[in-house]
Amino acid sequence: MTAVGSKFRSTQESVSQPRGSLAHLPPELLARVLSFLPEPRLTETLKLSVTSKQFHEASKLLMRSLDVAEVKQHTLTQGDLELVLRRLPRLRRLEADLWLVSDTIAAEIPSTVQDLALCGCHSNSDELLTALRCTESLHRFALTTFGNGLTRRGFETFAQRCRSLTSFSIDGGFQFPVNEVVLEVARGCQLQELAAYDLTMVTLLSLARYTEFGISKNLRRLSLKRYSLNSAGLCDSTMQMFRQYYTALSELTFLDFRREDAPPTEDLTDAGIQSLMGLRLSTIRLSRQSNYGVPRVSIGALMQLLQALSSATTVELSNFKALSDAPMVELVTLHGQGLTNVCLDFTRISDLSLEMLAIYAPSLRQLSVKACRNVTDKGLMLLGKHRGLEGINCSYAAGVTDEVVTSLCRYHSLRAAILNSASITDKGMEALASCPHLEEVSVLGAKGITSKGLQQLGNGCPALRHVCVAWCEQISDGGVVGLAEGCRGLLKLRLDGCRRISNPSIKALARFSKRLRHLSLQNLPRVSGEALEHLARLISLRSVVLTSTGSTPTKITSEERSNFARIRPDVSFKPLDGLSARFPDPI
Amino acid sequence: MGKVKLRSSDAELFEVEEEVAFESHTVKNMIEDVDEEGSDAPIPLPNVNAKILAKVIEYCKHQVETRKESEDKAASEESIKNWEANFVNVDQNTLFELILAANYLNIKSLLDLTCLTVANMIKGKNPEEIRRTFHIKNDFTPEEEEEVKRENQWAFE
Repeated sequence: MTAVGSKFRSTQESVSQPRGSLAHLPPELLARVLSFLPEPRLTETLKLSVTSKQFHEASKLLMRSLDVAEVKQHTLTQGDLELVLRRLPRLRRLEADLWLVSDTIAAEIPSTVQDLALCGCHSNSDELLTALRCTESLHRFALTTFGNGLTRRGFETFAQRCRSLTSFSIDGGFQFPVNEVVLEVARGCQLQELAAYDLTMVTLLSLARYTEFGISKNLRRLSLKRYSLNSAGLCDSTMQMFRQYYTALSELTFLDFRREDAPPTEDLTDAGIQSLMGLRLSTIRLSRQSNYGVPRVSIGALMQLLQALSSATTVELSNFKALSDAPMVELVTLHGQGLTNVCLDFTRISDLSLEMLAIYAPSLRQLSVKACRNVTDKGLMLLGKHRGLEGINCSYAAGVTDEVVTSLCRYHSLRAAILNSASITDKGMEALASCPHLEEVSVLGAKGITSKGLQQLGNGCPALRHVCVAWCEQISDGGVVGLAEGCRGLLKLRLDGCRRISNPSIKALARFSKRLRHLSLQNLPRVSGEALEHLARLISLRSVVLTSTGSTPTKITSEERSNFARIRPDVSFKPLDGLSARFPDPI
Repeated sequence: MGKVKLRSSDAELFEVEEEVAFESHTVKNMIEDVDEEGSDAPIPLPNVNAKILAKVIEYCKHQVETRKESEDKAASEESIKNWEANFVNVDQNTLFELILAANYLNIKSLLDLTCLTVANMIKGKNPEEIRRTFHIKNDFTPEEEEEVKRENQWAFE
């Protein structure tokens, strides 16, 4: 066996080991074995490289041919990321977080990369885009930036260099010139997929009208989110514009996150829905978060829309007041076989819809029925029939009990369980703990959960990244320590209102949760300034929320907060992943 | 379709249909290189013993059979999976010998199947558990191990 550039020459002599043993495999074959590890393959391979010198050689070999590196859950430093990228000469897909990384990294990204997703770019500038070497081969580009450094200029030159770009996704704050940037990119590239936010009607029309953009012929997937008052809203004229100009669309997502209670200046009615029927959509996602919702689309129009879909896979019609069982029956009867994602938050569906889904939608993977008041535990129990169910949200629905949760976890396939305001106890947590792929759990307000339940979750679900146990008032330090020890990959944790929690919890997090980015510690009267000393050691930390509302006292003094802010100026006291960065105007 | 004779390292002879033997690109190339007169001579496979060769032939026969039955597609996917799961349900010794044989004989599907099987045994285990499962010695000194960890510290956290 050659050393393959490694200074750790393997000493497992084949003489002492039988032929039919792992130790006898040449490194190329061990590398081939490792290539079958599930994602995240890169990190798994690196972790195993300390097993033996043979493994170390094999992992180096594997990296030479590895084409995917998804490392955005890790807060890599500049040095770390440079080292990794230099060892991946054949990389095709890169997903990375640039919180601690400067623009110069762009030059290290192999020119073979076709699919690039960068997030956490809060301190990057146009130089990041200029220095990219992979622009020739780039097909897909996704960028998330809540900083101020990237401008229209940067994207102008970028787009001119990216001749093969067909997919562009941009997410950022309200100060980011998203409209100009989207126009620049569309001008330079023939986009088939576009995901953006706060696009104005003018932008959407310009994109369509200038034939040089090719939107009419080429754009198949469009995803828009709305936070700003000035941007195009969920209304008839927007839908009519899509019908007229965006004729190649097969997937449309339009999510309006604005919360004002007053009706919008222009609303969505049956006319707008009928416009959409002129497109051949297989994915439709429409929602409006405000209390006003979407009251002016009738049940008839909804039924027609669902009938007109062509081989539907994803359907979301959140907050459509007229959405009840009848249109759902229509949807499931026609398209049940292919349905994978369904979201019916804030609608009037009842157990009947859930029954229909259980019988006729065998491929269902994601279901959300948040705040569906007519749903009961009987309907929710039926959801346990879905073998491949990966994501469920039944927050604020009535009747989410331990039995329901146990039923949902029957096939142990869950990756996300959002069960806010449910009446579950440690029994429910035990059921969740039987799902080893769980990445996201939220059980806000479950007063019946104790530390034992949280410990079980920590034991059973090592892949957890986002956990919310806010207002689970019985939880104490033992639970948090158990969670931290078991789930080393925690990125976000909410412990608001768990009033029994004190400093040992925070100390455990500082010790075990090396990747922790967002921590919410509101209304915790027993946590003192010592906790901040522990947290100061977490380099990946980006936000920590310490406010106390109402009459809850806090032991943390403002001096201690200032001290922390001085040592860690990069950490925000506001919830960074919340919506404050998005909404320019008070809602 | 003619028959092919294969000779294992321990001199055992196996007679198989040509199409079964051709599942191995190595054997196929060997056969195509030999001229017509010598076509009756057995193909020597010095790197594969009889026990393993028998398993390999079993696999190749199954490959050929399932390809012929592929009209009833839905049924066979499930049953192929079951058959394969059963096929690789062997002791470690046999499994790794199969990997070496599949590599030498250049049977990609068998190589992928056996490698995937080992990957599933590795999946989810930490280095110590892997050493125990596969009887591997940790031949790093503590300093060397520390250095490897430090190189990619972020992956361990």
